[in-house]
Amino acid sequence: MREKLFEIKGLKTYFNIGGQTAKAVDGVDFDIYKGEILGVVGESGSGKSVSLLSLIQLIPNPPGEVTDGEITFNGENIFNGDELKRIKAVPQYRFFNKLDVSKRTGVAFLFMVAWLVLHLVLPISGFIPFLISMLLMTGVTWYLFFNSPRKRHERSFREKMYTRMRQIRGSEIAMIFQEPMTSLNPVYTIGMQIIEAIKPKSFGEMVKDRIIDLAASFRNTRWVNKVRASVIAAVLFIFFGQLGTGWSFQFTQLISQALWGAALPLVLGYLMVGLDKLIPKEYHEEYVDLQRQGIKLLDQVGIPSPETRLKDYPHQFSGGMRQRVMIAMALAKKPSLLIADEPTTALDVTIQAQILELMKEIKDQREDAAIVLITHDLAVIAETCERVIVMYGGKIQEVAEVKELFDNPLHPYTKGLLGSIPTPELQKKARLQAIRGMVPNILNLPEGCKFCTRCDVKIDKCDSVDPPLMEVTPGHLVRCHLVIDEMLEQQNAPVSVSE
Amino acid sequence: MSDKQKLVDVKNLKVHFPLFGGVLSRRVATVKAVDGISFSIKRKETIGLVGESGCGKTTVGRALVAILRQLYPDVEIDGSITYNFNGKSVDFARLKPRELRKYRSKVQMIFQDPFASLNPRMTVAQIISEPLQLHTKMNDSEMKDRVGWLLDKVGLQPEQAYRYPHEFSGGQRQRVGIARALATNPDLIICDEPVSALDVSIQAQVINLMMDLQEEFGMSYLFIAHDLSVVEHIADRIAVMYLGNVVEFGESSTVYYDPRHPYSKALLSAVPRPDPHRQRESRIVLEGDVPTPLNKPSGCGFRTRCPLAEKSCAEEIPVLEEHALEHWVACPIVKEKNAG
Ligand SMILES: Nc1ncnc2c1ncn2[C@@H]1O[C@H](COP(=O)(O)OP(=O)(O)OP(=O)(O)O)[C@@H](O)[C@H]1O
Ligand SMILES: Nc1ncnc2c1ncn2[C@@H]1O[C@H](COP(=O)(O)OP(=O)(O)OP(=O)(O)O)[C@@H](O)[C@H]1O
Ligand code: SF4
Ligand SMILES: [Mg+2]
Ligand SMILES: [Mg+2]
Repeated sequence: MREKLFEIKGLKTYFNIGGQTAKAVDGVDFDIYKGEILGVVGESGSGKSVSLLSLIQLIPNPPGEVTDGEITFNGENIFNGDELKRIKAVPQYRFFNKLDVSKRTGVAFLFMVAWLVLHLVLPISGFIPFLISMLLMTGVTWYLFFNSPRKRHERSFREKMYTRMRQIRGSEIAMIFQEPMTSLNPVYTIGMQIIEAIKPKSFGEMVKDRIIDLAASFRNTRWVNKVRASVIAAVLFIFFGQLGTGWSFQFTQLISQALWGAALPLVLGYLMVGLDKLIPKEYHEEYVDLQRQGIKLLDQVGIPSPETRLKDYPHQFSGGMRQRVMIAMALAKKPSLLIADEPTTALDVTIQAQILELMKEIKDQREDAAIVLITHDLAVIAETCERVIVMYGGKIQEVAEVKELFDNPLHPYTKGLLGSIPTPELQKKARLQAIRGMVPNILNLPEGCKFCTRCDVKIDKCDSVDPPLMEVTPGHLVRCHLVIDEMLEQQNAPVSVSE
Repeated sequence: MSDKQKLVDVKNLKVHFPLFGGVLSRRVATVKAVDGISFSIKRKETIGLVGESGCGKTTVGRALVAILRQLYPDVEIDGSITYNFNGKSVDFARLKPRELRKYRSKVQMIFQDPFASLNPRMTVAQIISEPLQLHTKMNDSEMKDRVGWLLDKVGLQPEQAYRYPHEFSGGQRQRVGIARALATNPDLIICDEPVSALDVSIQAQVINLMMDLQEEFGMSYLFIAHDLSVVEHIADRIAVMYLGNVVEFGESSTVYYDPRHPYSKALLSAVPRPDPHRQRESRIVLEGDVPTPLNKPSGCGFRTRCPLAEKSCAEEIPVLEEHALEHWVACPIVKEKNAG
């Protein structure tokens, strides 16, 4: 058996939407093995993105929170829902825990008013005692009504977890999102961003890099162009100089303005060269090496003439190329897990094919790394993935090897999905085996099987009892009463004689 | 094919958008969004229109419903779009707006984004009856009946007529869009990526609905989509576009399984197939950058990326020629190869 990279047990992520709880991910168990490409498919809103984002604690909090479950990464427990539950068990407030949050402020306000009224009655005079009393009032009110021992625990729990998560995200896990433009910074060149991804830089180092770049481009500029720049600067200096002196056209002034102008580009250029000389040689070498690595990465993701493209800005790249740059940056860290959330949905098929192929190549190069590919396109799954998770209504409905899933789908939802896409065997213009109805509202999911509102083969208990996720054959897990009952029946049935 | 069967015949259609710039707002460039295409649509037929983003599919669709001039007054349209409505032939590329109004109801459009294409302030009944108000003289009760009937046809409940679009799911909104397009009994419906924004399970419902309606009412579809397996399934013929030109046109399974043009070949070799057992035959990788309609290469638009390109390709834009029966390809090099 292959080694586990991630082990996820009972993961729950809830969102608070207008006071109601949306169970976006509601008890999800799965493993990610080293060296595999794992596909995740399902309806929009079924919790695909949230499941994977929860792994690395990238859920916006509030409104969302990973509330329960256990996540183990490379043998290290990085999230434990029990710990969180223990913290949640600590009373939220030190006093009056029965008072609910909305009334609390009101009661606290009354308390403060009462304190003020006391001032009218008691003979406390003078400004200083009054100030002290006011401070005391604020302190006492806070202590009585808003002091929360749980908050402190929660904060330290979060801080510890987020710190570790940042480390892991920084070095071990990379993500690619659907819309590459929003993830690239439009004001930096592609080269700068790739180098930043390989080795994060401090501000001083960034300044040094700019100096190196400018000095190099000054050295590489031909003399003709240097002269041209000087002439232009001289003309500009004369123009603005004369503008400033009221068009006096004094001869000596003209000469000095022209000379200053002509000298400026050269002076700046040589200043850069001079500063460049001050930067230690090792730093130069490192910078050149980083650039070489950047070029290699761009080349690896199939960007033509990477040396020159390094100097371009994101808007000069097409959508497919930006997505490839994102992949290059994701690969720069040599991550052990790459999460690709619909990386090709916005792209043309020819470019989609290139990017999927690239992901397969990456996988082949690194045996200990894994890729998770989130998509709604079953054809993409069939071509790229080895194992598939099918999600619906915040739960995993079926898990299987890709061939097993396509040959022998068991869950009615998976069957419906496969029936929804045209296949070569299907007669032309034949009706597709669509799933009827529509996705239930996340705030109003059925109590039993999440699919029961659309299922054509459901049985009585489906509406009320949520089936468990059961292993039917090794590696093939299904969450469906019908399938599970059938399996149990077969196990209990007497073994047939002929075998 | 007799001309009687033909619903519309597009001949050498060109749609150019002039770009203006500079202080004097002079014409600085021309976007050749559609650059001389010819194809035809028969009655009761579905034509699939495929090609990469920006190749001009939507522009073709808009030209066929004749709304380009309304949307972009500067647009330059050349060529002919000859419809045959009950024996009367009209050229949408040349018709005056006033005359056009008589025929607008015959050609309708469904859009990709079911969220953006419906006015959020109108009820479903208002949305669906809008084209009826514009193009027919129905009175209120007739209109109400018609709306109820249309909702039933697209699988929505009549009670839902007085709800607003935001109360519907994506698939239901697309059904509303279909009902609106269907309202005036059109001869042709342009479907611009009608299912791309929907979930797979809902896509199948909408595709089924569209096929059923065609079966019942016999209109033609121009089906624009990027999911080639869906196009292959529902289209009778497929036109493959590249940079403003149709490079291949033919019976859908022929184009899908036996593409001849080098671009169609590359495109179809890249289509993922839902079969994990399939051993991918070597995919054709296209080198080079994708040109835009602004810097279109001379001659064949595909020559900068084409593995077969020769010097002669730069000279003139290849025209569609019949390489096999009813299979049209715009590439002289392929023709030579097959002949020799
Ligand atoms: N920031 C958020 N605030 C509130 N609810 C959220 C938030 N993010 C996700 N959700 C809810 O969680 C549910 C699952 O969302 P998720 O993004 O995981 O779906 P998905 O399976 O990735 O769908 P898609 O295919 O559309 O990307 C959705 O119903 C959504 O309403
Ligand atoms: N009004 C306009 N002015 C200038 N250029 C335009 C205009 N409308 C479209 N174009 C350009 O014409 C080309 C074709 O556009 P069109 O929208 O028809 O492409 P498409 O094939 O529908 O693409 P997609 O698959 O992305 O929808 C594009 O390059 C587009 O930028
Ligand atoms: S558990 Fe019941 S409702 Fe759910 S998929 Fe199985 S048969 Fe259908
Ligand atoms: Mg998502
Ligand atoms: Mg379009």
